[in-house]
Amino acid sequence: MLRHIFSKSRKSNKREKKNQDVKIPSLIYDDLTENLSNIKKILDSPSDLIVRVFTIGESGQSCAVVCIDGLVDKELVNEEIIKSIQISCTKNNQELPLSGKNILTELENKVLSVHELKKADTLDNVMLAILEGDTALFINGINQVLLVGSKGWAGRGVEEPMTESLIRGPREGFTENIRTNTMLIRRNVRDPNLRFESNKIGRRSKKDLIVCYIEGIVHPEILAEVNRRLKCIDVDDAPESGTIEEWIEDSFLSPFPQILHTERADKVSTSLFQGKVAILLDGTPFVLIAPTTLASLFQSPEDYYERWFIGSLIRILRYIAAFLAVFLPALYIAIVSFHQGMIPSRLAFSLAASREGLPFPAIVEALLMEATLELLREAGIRLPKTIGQTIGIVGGLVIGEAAVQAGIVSPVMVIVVALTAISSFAIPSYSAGIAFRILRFATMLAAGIFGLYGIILVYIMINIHIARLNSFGIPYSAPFAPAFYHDWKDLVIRAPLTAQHKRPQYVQTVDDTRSNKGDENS
Amino acid sequence: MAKLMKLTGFLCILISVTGCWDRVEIEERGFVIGAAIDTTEKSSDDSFGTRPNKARKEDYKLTYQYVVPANIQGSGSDGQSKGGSGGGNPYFNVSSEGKTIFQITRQLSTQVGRSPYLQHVKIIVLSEALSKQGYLYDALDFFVRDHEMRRVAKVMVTNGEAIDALQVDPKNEPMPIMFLESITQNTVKTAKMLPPTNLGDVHENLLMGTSFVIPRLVVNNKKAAISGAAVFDSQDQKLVGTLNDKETIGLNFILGDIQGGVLEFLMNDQYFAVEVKQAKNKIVTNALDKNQMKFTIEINSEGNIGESYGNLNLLEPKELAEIEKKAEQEIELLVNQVIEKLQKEYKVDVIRLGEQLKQDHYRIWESVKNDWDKGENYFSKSVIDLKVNFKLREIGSSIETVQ
Amino acid sequence: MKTFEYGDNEIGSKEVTMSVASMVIGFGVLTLPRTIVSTTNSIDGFISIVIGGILILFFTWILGMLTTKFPKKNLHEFTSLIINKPVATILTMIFAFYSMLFVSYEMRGTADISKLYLFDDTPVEVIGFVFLLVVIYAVSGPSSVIIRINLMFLPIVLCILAVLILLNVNFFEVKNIKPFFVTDWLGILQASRETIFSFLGFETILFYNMFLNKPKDMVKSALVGISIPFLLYLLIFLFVIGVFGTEVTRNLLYPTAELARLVEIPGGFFERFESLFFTIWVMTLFTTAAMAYDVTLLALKSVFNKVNRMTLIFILSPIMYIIAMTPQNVLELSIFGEWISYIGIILSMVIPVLLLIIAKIRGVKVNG
Repeated sequence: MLRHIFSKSRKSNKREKKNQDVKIPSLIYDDLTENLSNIKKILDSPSDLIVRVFTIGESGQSCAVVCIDGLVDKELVNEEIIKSIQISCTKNNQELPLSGKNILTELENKVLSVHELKKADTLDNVMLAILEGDTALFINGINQVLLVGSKGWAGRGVEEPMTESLIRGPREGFTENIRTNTMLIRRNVRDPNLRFESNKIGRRSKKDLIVCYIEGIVHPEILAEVNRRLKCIDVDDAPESGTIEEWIEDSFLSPFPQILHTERADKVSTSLFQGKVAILLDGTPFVLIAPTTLASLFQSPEDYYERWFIGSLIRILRYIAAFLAVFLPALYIAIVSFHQGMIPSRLAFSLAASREGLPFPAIVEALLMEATLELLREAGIRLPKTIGQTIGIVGGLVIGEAAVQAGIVSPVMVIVVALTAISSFAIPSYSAGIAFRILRFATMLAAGIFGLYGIILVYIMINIHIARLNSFGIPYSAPFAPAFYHDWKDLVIRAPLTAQHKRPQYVQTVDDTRSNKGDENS
Repeated sequence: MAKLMKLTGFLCILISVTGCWDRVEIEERGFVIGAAIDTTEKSSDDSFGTRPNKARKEDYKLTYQYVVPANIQGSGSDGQSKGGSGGGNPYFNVSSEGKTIFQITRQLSTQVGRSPYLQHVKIIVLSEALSKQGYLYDALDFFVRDHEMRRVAKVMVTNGEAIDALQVDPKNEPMPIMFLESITQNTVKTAKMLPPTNLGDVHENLLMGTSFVIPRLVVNNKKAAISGAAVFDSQDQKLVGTLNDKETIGLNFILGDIQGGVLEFLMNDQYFAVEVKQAKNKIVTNALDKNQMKFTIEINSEGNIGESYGNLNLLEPKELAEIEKKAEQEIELLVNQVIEKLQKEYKVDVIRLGEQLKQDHYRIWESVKNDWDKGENYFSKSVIDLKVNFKLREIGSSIETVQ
Repeated sequence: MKTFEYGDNEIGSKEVTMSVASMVIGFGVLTLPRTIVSTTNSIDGFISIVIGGILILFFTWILGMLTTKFPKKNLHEFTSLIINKPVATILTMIFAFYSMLFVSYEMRGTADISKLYLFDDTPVEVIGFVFLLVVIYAVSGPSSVIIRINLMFLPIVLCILAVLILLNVNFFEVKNIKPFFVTDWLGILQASRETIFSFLGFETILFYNMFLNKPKDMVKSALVGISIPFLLYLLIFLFVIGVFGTEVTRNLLYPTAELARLVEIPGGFFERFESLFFTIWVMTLFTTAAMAYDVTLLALKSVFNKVNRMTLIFILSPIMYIIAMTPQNVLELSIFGEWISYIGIILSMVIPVLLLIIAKIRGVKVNG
């Protein structure tokens, strides 16, 4: 309903697109110096632009290598391009044909010993290639340019993913380099049906975006929907996959994430096998997985690597933790302020005794403590690792204790807040954790006004919200509702893998089976 | 249009927060854990214009026992408390008088800063005088009707003033009412007390128009004991009499409510004690003759040997059979005693024979129900036969104590 | 064919079952034992429930037959096929009006009970108001939202009822159930009338028909859906009588909630179970109100095609609120409820039978 109110104002604020592309002359001239000066003009001669003019062997034909320092693999440029051209032409001592294309073919076939070679006709492509880290080889007198793949820059190596570490499981996480990421995915999925569809995102940033799926498993309409939404993105820059997420998700007003993001390669490959689509963006290690449902927020790869019974119990624990994280402070407020009859008499008396003389009503107290905790959390993220941990624990304890001693909050409140905080950490997905934190405040307010009635109304509202949410056409509340009973094997419990031999139904995959039940006699 | 909708949206949310009407913090509640109702002489204040004829002439004196939660910690025998308020009583009693219980309850807020919060009331004590005058249902109406009360609050009748019950010396509990309540939970140990009667049960009995019993509290000089039962009749809901300990045991046997108890009898001229673990009853009705209905009560009971007199060989089947027979005789004695008293002296049916009749022979019940234990009083005219079976289960860990 | 095809708004047979069950389980369960026992004695009310239930099953079957004849059409459409358009419009409008009254009744009932058990000072108006707000939030999306919510809430409600019954087993006394068969037939029939009031709500399938994936399953799912409340009523009635006995039940305003009051959780962990029970009960009252509101909107939309859903909501909600706040006390509310039930009986039983007969006589068929 809120969307209805807000969307109307959104529509009326459409800005007009202005084409602000800088005009790049699209022609490549025959004359080498002219091309080079064009390039220098367009880029305004930055200090990291390398223009190396030299001759091809003995022929006297000049050519130039243009690349950006820092983006290129220097050794490749030196050894394979410049050296090859300089030396091998001399060695072979051939008469190089003077006219155009033959030089190119000669270089291409016999001289340049590089694995990635393309030809370019227009200057935009050359610019793009140079800015991406390729090397452009201009030859005097020819209006085609050879683009040699020479990307090599300083980047982070493959490390353990920082946000999602497991006890048991592979420790390879994505990096900022999209090629490394595709490599990691390929290592897990060696199916020839794995498809990578490349796009470029961002008018000015022109980053690589790869849509990844397994053909024959994914439902074609989901894929079409993903592609359609990606095409609608028209931004200057997409710095992180979060930007893409915000552009293509179904509801920007909802606190719940409708697209999952992960740093783990095994999570992505498992999702691909389930029939989902992965979106990789150059420059960020976080890969998007669409579509998502509420249940995926509670799933962690560890459930599958450990024994099924333990996985099930821990998953149930997560559901309980999610419930506590959202409702516990609200329940405390409701019981203490409204329904004191619900607790056993002795507990009621101890609570009353501990709250004796406190200045604030329970709702104010709870809001204060929760706000303090949120502040502590945010502060703990910014601080360096070692201090951050200590601040979190010590800060919480000390502040809580001091507040109790000062007579501002009651000890039970501190316990409640601590328990809530711990519960919210038990949820594997960070964005879900944030969603629950927001909901917690809403529930607390409702409890402070109406008590248990308020809590149940907020619970109903949350459920309505989840029921209305769609993620790329899949209802967010699947497989709870609509009920796909088969998927319940992997929902609250994790059934043994031998029992899960079909893919999840809510994604409506084309190919159903994922494991063979096995021969009974074996 | 969009603006209008946004405005209405905000207004809606605003209205909800204009007040939290029901928010009362837990420390602001005046927890009442027990109530005592007495009658007093009529007060001079006559706010009703005319003298009521039918209405009750006496006023009620209502006493509530409030809890002071801050003083619960560390109070008791040593009286030292830690952390906060110094040692004080964890409870206090407040009394007030008035015409209706509801009024008095509200009136108490003029005396106590925290308005009474009845959700934790555990025991309601009524004085014998009040019960004799038949004001039981009247006094309890407020408690049954109020939605804050729990139906499982216990009801007791005390000899003397009910307010004394709230002032007993609580030995190992912080408050007198808690002390009394912990006594009521001891029915597993002795059958001299009736199993605790809830407010709900009393309400049920009042609605069904049957006679009933309520546990009796004996307060003597700040010491309390629950023993015996108070018998109420179905016609006026008046207290017609009390049953003493032994009779209560008999009553428990008939009702099948024994959770534990002791039978003492002579065996070979020595005292012998048997622990009763349970008793089940079965009643067969023979209602052919209205004026002389025959009820056969079969009591099946079992138990263990509690205390023997020393050199009795308890592994001898003969001895065991003798013990069982003696136990059966004792039970019969007790039960007959109580039936005698109920039928002849009080003439009320608290052993639920009427209900049995209703279940078995509904039509006959319909015709006699108005005269069952009042009027014609078919109850006292009926003949009640007993059949007792007692089974010994265990003899304990030793056989003989002395040679 | 799967119940959910990618991106569609359709529902399957399971959803119909749950929706019907959710709709029927509402306010009636709380007062049902008392209304039955007012004219019958002890366990004989069982028979009344059985009679009422069988009657309802029959009429559900009729409704099911009617809707299977016209797959994917709502009331307005197939009535215009059977009779003619103006009659269909009038019928749909009456239906919409009835649903509106139903929502108001549920809302007011919820507010009343909440005030009795959960609150003390908060005015009934406010309680009802926030309830209405949440219902509006639910209804402003497509109908599939409400159906999904039913699916999510119904198991919880059934769970709490199961817990309620299980925890009361201790208090169950067989002697309260006896004697058997002592009431006369008049009393039993009168009580059956009361049970039929509690069963009303299944007429929503007339409108949800247009979302159904497999139309042939409608009859079966609706019958299964009705039997859930049927069994529930029997069970609850049995337990209320068994625990309280006839006389006490006659005097309790909300016997089922009183059953919740008796519950003592072992270990004394939790005392006022009825607050918890009632809190969860709000969920099923909510689904009933939301579905009724949704039916109103569907009905009105089928008559006035062009009107925006949100506009209808904004117009109807104040009206519903005012109607809900009109009864002044419990007595007036129950009279209000009776009127609604009478209209409901006509609309959901008499009229579909007529429609079916006319349809059969005229041999109306739907092509394709």
